[in-house]
Amino acid sequence: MKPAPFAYWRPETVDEACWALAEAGADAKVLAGGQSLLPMMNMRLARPGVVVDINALSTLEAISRPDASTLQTGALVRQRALERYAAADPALQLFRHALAYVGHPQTRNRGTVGGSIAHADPAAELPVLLTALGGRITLLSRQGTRVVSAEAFFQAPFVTAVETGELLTQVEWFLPPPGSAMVFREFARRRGDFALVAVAAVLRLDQDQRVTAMRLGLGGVDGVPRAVPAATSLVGLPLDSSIIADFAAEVARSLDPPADLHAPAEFRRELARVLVARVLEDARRQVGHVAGERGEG
Amino acid sequence: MRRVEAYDRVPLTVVVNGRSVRQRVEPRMLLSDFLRECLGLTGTHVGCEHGVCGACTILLDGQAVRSCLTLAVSADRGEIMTIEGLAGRPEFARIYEAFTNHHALQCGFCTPGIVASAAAEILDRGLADDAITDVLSGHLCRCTGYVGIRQALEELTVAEGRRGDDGP
Repeated sequence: MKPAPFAYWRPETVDEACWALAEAGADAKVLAGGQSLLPMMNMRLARPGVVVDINALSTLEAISRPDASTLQTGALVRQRALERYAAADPALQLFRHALAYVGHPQTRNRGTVGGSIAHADPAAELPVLLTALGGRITLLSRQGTRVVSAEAFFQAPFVTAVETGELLTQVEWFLPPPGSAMVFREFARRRGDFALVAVAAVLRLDQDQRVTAMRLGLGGVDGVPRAVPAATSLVGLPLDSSIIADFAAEVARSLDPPADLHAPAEFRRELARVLVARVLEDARRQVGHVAGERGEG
Repeated sequence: MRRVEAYDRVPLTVVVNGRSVRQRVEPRMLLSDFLRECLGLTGTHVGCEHGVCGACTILLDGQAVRSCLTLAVSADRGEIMTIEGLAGRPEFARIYEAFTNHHALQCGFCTPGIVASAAAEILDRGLADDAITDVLSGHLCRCTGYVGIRQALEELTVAEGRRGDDGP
């Protein structure tokens, strides 16, 4: 199949892009990497009347660490570029691990960070990461700038807080303090497939191996990535295997995953239980490793 | 701002396999179809048209890219290398030899895409061990069972040697 005919606009500046999106209204789709939009257009699941190609907006390609606890990625940052940036920084290994699961290297050469967040596929990896870490999304329109928290951004499958006429320009990621363990794990039937279940965890332990902070995000168990508020219930507890197992079982029980072509609900629930336990075991080992290196504990 | 209406054609200027090409195309023309239908470069194959099979993979500005997920107009002012262009390059001889030695193709449908991906990695940073699985994960082959392809890529890894961290 080939895409249905569409008008093609290619703004040269961010202002032009906002003008274009206001002008075209609900009939427009933004084209960034195209690795999600083009498949839908090729199969005619999407038939925008206007495609606004933002690939000329080079100001949206920046990656920066304004401070130790924040990573800023422009909307047009290629997933491959973020992989490489993260490879050079020990504090960003979580991004490298999560991005390795996103599609294939060939799609990561074009696919963008902003595009993945704005597309909000319920089984995509970057939205899970953003939900687990926390962050802020900047939206620009002719009316000005708006910042939405990660918690409020993902509303339903493929539905986000982005309104007609708005362009996602930046994703800001909150990074945990040094010494935190960060783990991402996913189960998919083939390498590069969307996740059946994905889990991202951030964890801090004190010298007695008690949890001082924990954040947990799950993907594939709902229409949107789920933060697990119960993660805070582990604060103050030692993270041993039986506590991990009980907690993972409790998280799984709290889920009401969709049943679909790819997996029955019970399978997703079981995957969540197993992956949450493995992620926390990995995180515990990671913190232990880091503490060992610094001569603590 | 460039604005093209749905049924209009837009001028497209690209360098394909070292030669500058200028044509007028509809916005909805896919790069894969532009290469095959407009330029007669049928070495690039079309399989799934949604980015998973890898048969359409070409090099755009030195990177392996799915031409079925790229609008031709998006590639304006870019540099494209297809299997036809790779065949003329000196480094391609090693790829060709390795694929022959290890029987890494049968029908050959997936081959141009895999060669493009491998060439991109070799041109980029040398084909390190962990890159082989990554490169192959983006390609489906119905004939070989991948064993010969993997062996061919491993031979290329040995031939290239580990170049180490010489780039981003």
